[in-house]
Amino acid sequence: MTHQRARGTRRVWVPAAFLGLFGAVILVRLVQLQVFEHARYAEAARAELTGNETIYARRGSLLDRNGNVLAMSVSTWNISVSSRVWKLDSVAGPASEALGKYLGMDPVQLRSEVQQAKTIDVVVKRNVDYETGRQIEADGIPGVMAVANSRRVNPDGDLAAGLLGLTGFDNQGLAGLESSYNSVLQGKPGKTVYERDTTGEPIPYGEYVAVAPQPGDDLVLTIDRTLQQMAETRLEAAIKEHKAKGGTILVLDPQTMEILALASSPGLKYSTINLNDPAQMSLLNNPSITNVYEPGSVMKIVTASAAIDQGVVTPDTTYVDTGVVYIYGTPIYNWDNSTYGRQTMTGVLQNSINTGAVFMVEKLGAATFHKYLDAFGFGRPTGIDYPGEAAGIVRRPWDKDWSPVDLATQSFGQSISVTPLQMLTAVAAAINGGKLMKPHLVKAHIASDGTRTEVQPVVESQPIKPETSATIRSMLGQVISQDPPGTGRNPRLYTAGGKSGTANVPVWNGYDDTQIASFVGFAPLEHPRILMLIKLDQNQDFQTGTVAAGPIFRTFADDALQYLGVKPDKGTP
Amino acid sequence: MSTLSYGRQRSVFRGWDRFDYALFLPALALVVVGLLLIYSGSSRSYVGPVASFSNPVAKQVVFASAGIAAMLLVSKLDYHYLTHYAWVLYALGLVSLVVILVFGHSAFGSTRWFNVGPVQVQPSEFAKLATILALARFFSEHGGDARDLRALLLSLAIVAPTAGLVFVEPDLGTSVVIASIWVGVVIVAGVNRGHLLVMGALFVAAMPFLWTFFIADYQVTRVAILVDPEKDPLGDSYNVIQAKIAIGSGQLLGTGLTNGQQTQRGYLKVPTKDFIFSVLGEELGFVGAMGLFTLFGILLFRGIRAAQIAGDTAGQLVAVGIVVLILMQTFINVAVNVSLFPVTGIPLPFVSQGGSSMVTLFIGLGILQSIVMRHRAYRQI
Repeated sequence: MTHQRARGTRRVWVPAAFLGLFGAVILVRLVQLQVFEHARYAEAARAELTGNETIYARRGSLLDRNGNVLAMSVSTWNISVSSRVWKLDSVAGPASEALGKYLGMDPVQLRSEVQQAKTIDVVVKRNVDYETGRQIEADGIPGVMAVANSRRVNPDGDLAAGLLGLTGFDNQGLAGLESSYNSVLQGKPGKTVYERDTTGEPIPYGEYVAVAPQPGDDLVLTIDRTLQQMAETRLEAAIKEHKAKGGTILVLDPQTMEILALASSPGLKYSTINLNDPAQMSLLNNPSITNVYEPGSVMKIVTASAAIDQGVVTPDTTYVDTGVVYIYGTPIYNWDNSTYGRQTMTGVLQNSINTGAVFMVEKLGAATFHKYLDAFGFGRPTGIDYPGEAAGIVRRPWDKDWSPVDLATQSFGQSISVTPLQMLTAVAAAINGGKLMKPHLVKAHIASDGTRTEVQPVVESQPIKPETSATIRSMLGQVISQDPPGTGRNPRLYTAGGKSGTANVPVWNGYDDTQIASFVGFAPLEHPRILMLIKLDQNQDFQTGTVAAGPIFRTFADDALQYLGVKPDKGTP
Repeated sequence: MSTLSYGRQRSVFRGWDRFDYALFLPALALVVVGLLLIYSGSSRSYVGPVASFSNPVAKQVVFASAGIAAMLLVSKLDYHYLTHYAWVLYALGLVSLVVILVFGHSAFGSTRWFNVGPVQVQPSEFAKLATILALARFFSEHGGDARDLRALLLSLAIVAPTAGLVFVEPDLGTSVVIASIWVGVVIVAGVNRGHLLVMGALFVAAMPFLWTFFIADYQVTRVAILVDPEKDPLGDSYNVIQAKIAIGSGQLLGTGLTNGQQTQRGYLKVPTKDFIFSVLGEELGFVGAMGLFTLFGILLFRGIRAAQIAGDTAGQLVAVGIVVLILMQTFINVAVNVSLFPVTGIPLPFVSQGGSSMVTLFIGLGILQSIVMRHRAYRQI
């Protein structure tokens, strides 16, 4: 036999069984990959194949109360380059030449920036203007992409910058109203999804808008562009004239607490701000809202309101000023160290007599006075729609180092720190019929479909009776009417009320000899349309609030009320 | 064995009526599937005319035709001619493997090809067949009793040079295939179970040494990425991850031919060769993979049937060797695609683009056919 007979054939199935077993293992693996883990891999495939870009929604504009644009967004492009595509010098060379021409950038530098980047998409220039961006896109330079963006424009330059605040290049509000209303303004960003190949290049026609962006609301501010301009100009002039370090002119409508103008110095100016300088970061705050000071005699308005509302005095209640009052042996003098003799409560305000304020607060008692301070909103934020508001500092009778002297000094605005806005909110309540209202900067929202929603004034509480408020108005009117119309604090055309305050700047363990000169005034007297605070910080000419800030009130009240079309109630002299 | 028998055999050969179409048609179907997948996988890189030798599909058609022609020729030939010259073929195989190490063309970090005109010839493919023939010859002769430890070790000495030379190319996958062929053949040749187990144990024990002294760095990397593919997703494990993503995203029915994103967007590398199964997994899905497995399953059963009915030991062992050759390559290729085996350049039999593999596999089928067609002739002896 030439050929060996084949052996028993059962054994041939042994290798077959092994191979079948291997096949089964593969089968199980396939079921795992394709059935159980399918979703995971499908997602991975999608993630690999699709890139996406955020389409920023049109950011809402900021308008003044009359519809003038204060801040708006214009379409721009961010130009980015794919570092993968520019990996080869043969591609990057001509491409960087072409792109550099559009962007006005050095091609060599452009190339090295892209090639040395660690990311795939390198943003080489942000906020390229609309037309240039369109041209770059149309040119189809290899690796170059133009992504729609927008840039914030302020047509009035630095006007109201301290209120409006800033946006960053990602269209996020960083400061001011841009920050506090960021979510309203920015709308909902959309998304484009595009498919790409292994080089990361988008595939033509593979792009679609996955989520349409929802434009943000426009905001109508309570600010009046003209009054704001007036406030800023006059503040700057006053700071210069009185050699002050800074100051505030805050103008609002005491009936609604709409802020008509708010000029603060130092403050944000778009033209000069350098965001890379940490020292300039404080400029992003608005000191009239975020910083506190001791208000001085302006506080006597609150003391008088409390005393009259409580019925412990009337405007005609008299007492005798001896020029000094001793609290547990600590003497308290008048601001000018003079002695006024027998005085009414109106006279206390007219002459700003410290001992008179102490007289009132002693009659009230610490508990009642502090109840009124609470009612007027001291020691807590007003709740204005602006970020970073300070609460103020009020020494309390239950504080550890409280002394009765504190009560006395608080009656004329020391041992208490307030923000300018807080002070004016309290005074507004004292003169508007006794309603403590929430100050606000936004008057209405205009949705992208044009629907306008008004922001309603919010009355928080009623710290004093309307009659008390009327009384206070007339007392404050008599402060101003000491000057002949058209001079000093007294407007030429309109009746008005007001009170000055000159406070020393508290430093550790006492007071500096620098001062803050301020004046709070309103007009017309019976139906106030504007209430304003003028404050000059550390004016080096050491003029008092009456002398330095009073005349600013006078002219501002005349001009502003005429501008607002309020009929002069004094007649033309 | 004398040459006498060849004269007799010619007279009993009764033509094509014993040709096993159930063995051939699945292979033909696999080739067709392969052409579709190569078309899909190359549609991104190839944009030339259809009838061009640089069109991978046209090229594959040429190779398949050559392979089928070779199969028909070989099936007409008595396989004993092959076993008769087994030692010569075996020697030629070894020489070609040595030559390629010296003169061969490198690709993807290993030396596996000769360039013969426009065709790349991969001698390890022919060496595998030659080794099978040599093994069968050895065990079908006197003294070649697999139950005898001495003979078993001698048979190992036949396999070792081929596996070793392939291993240093380096081509770990083919070494594993050759080792599997040996195991398959010795099992059928009647190896003592104890011997095989002891040798297996020794091999396992030797693994750490092999790992330390013989494994190339790139192989270590490939094993490492099998264990933890997320380690270097853009570098070494890129292909493995992309293949897994492709197959995983195919789901039940696949994305449809030429619609696979991974394939068409170029995420999948070598999509017409080593990773062609991923294209299938993505574009034809689990159902497509099952279809493929069914075709290979039929090949397995018809091949084993050939071994079962083979007229003599030589035929039986050759048949087993060829079945193991085809299916181990299939298993390793798919296992690489689904991340169960380290990346190694094993093509998917009959499906992957490539001439040497295609022609060799069809020659293997031809040998199987030759065994089937002659089983009665030799049984009667």
